[in-house]
Amino acid sequence: MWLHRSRRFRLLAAAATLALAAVTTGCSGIAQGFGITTNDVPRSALCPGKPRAQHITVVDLWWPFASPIINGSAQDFNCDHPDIAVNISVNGQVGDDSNGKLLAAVAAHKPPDLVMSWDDLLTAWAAKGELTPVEDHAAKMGIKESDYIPQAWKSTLWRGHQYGIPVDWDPDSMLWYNKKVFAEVGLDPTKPPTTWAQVQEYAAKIDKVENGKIKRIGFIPWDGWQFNYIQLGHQFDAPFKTGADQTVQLDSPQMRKLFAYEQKIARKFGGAGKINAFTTVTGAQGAAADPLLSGRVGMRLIGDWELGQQAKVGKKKFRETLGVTMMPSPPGGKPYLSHSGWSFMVPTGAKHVDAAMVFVEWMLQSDHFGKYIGPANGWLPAKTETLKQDYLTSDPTWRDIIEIDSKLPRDWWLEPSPVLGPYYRFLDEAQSELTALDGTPAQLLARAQRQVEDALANAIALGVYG
Amino acid sequence: MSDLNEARTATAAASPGGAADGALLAPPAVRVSRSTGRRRSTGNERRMRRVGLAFISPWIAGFLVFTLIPLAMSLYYSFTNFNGLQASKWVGMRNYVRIFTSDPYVQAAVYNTLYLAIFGVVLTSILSLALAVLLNQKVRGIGIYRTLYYLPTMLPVVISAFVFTLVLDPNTGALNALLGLVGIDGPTWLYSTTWSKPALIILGLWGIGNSVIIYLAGLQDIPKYLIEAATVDGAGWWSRMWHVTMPMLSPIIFFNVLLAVIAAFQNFISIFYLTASAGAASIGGPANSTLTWGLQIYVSAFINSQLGYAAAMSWIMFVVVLAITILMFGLSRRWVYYESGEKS
Repeated sequence: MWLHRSRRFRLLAAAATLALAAVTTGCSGIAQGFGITTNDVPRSALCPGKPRAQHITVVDLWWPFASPIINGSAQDFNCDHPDIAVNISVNGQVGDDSNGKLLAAVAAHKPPDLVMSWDDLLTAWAAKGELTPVEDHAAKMGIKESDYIPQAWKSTLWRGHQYGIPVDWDPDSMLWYNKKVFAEVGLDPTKPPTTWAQVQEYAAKIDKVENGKIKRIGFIPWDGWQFNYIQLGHQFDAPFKTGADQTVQLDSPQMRKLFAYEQKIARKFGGAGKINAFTTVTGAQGAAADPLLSGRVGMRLIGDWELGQQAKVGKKKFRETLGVTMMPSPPGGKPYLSHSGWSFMVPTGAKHVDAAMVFVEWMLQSDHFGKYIGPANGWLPAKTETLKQDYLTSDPTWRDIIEIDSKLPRDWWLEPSPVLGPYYRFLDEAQSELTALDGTPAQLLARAQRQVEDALANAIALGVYG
Repeated sequence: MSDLNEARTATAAASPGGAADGALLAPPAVRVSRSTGRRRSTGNERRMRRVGLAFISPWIAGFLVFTLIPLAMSLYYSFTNFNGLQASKWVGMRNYVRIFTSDPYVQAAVYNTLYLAIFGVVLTSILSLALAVLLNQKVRGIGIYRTLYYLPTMLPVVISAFVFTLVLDPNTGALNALLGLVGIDGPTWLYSTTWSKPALIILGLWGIGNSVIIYLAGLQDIPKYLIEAATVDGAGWWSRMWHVTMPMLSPIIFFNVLLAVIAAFQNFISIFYLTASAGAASIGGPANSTLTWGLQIYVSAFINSQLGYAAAMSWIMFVVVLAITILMFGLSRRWVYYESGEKS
């Protein structure tokens, strides 16, 4: 019954090996989920006449949304650079990392080599050590400030280092209007509103409620782009301080005035719950999902990416249905046009930074941006030279947008700071409660001010500011 | 078998020679220490123990690496400013103090968690028990009914949540369409600060199949002679249910309610999915009306990168759930009946 000593030893060794294997397999399984081996990478088979590289560096890129066009870029890039393969994974939340995947990958020392994300997250990520400075790598690739819109370039800087390469720089809050809806209610589709009073007057004409049910809404200030309250805040001449210089200003008489305006509209339709439920159709795609294109809303404050719908509905129908103009400011306010953009960023611990920068430089060349990024998403480039691309100059709606964009400075929404995330979040929540008719502008803004001040104090205490 | 062991022990203790005289009954390899009287392991037993340990070492390693060490580390991190990436600094009780004094989300998170736990658990328990009673009837095709009620449980929570984004859509959803048939203008569910929590409770009811099955097993385990005796004594349906079935089922009810309470406190996936994807504007929205303690732990850890703070929140939740569990066990002595006559 009892085992021989050598057999026992073998048995013990086997059991221990099994245990170790089980543990290490579990660990590596998690880690390997973020990468692929070179054997899995498509090489240069689709690039006739190009030599096959002996050694391939694989660049892992996390892209924030599904895009068939962007996948094609990997193949074309590989033809131009046979020694670098780009493995593009769609990670829907990398834009705000709300699933914590990037944080986990960096903490586990298995980050992707490149991510594309929003400029307003860059500072927060850089401050907590989630990003690698890229100025040296960028300089090596000839990526330089003078080629970019200055505000876009500045949005990638934090504490003397550059943490990203700007991809686009978009006017985010223009007034789009539905020409067919205008015609239906007796407004001239060729003459969009040019004053604040006209926006309110046209909106009132478009509003339609039957038997207590909303059928159409003229203008919803918070609809279209999540941060419209900042755009309108600027237009109401509200002062904003985001904590970049360790001070916060959020609550102001101008913001209270804006919030009172928003609440008045919410109250008119029974609260944001009813309005938001009316503008959203769960599971709908294309024009049906777009409240402006479908005519459920007459005017909408949204960015140039509305032009991304052209690819879905066709240029002709899009042009016949929608027009775009500058959002007029209220009396006593000032003209303003908020901009933001995506940037390529390199997570801390990325292994192939130089190869990643080769891809970034390639992708941001005018013709590649014009092929893979700009028209597909409805984005204006951050590189000035790319503004001459054919997709921009030949399209009448793009020409309208560029004209609007050229009238005002290409300002950003808010100055980047490590507490910009909480700044948006607390303001967003204040607006949500306000439009749900739960609280007054004064109460909610005062609370948001306190909350951001607390977040700033906490960030300072945690050493985020150095 | 235990009787045999007791007999061996008694024999060994009673005889003047102790273990030596009892050697006929005791296993040959057992020795007893002269100084302490404690039984000493033999070489064979030690070898067997080592082999046994080697064989269960995968579990031990897994338990250490994935449970015990993370648990201990989370307790340590709850006293630091750990952000997941940079070296952490000891901050003492600062995280705990902040949770109880200045965190703007604690009030909403506590209220919403309790709301969902109380209403969700009560509704789930009543409905699943009622369904189990119905499914315990001897009617034709009862197997099909039982399967149908259990089927939703087979769906992953994320899939159920996705289905419910469609079901709860105020304009095109099935629920409001049904309400419309009886002349009720349905609410805006996940878009409304008033109706978002009831919407989550409705989603929770979708997955009651598990507790129905447990109740059903409990109902079928009740001895028939008890019901028959009560019937002979003239007890009606309600009397039998209240005085026979419910006491006999009380351990099962206690088990199910306890699990439901713990699950309600830990509820995360469905709320995260529904509010992040279904037009509620933000995780825990609209206007924080579905922000629960668990959700706020996640937001603190993975969106705000305050893992130390999130660890402190997790430990508070652990202590609260533990306290509630102990309290429920204490209260169960008053109403849970065990057939053996013992109280819990």
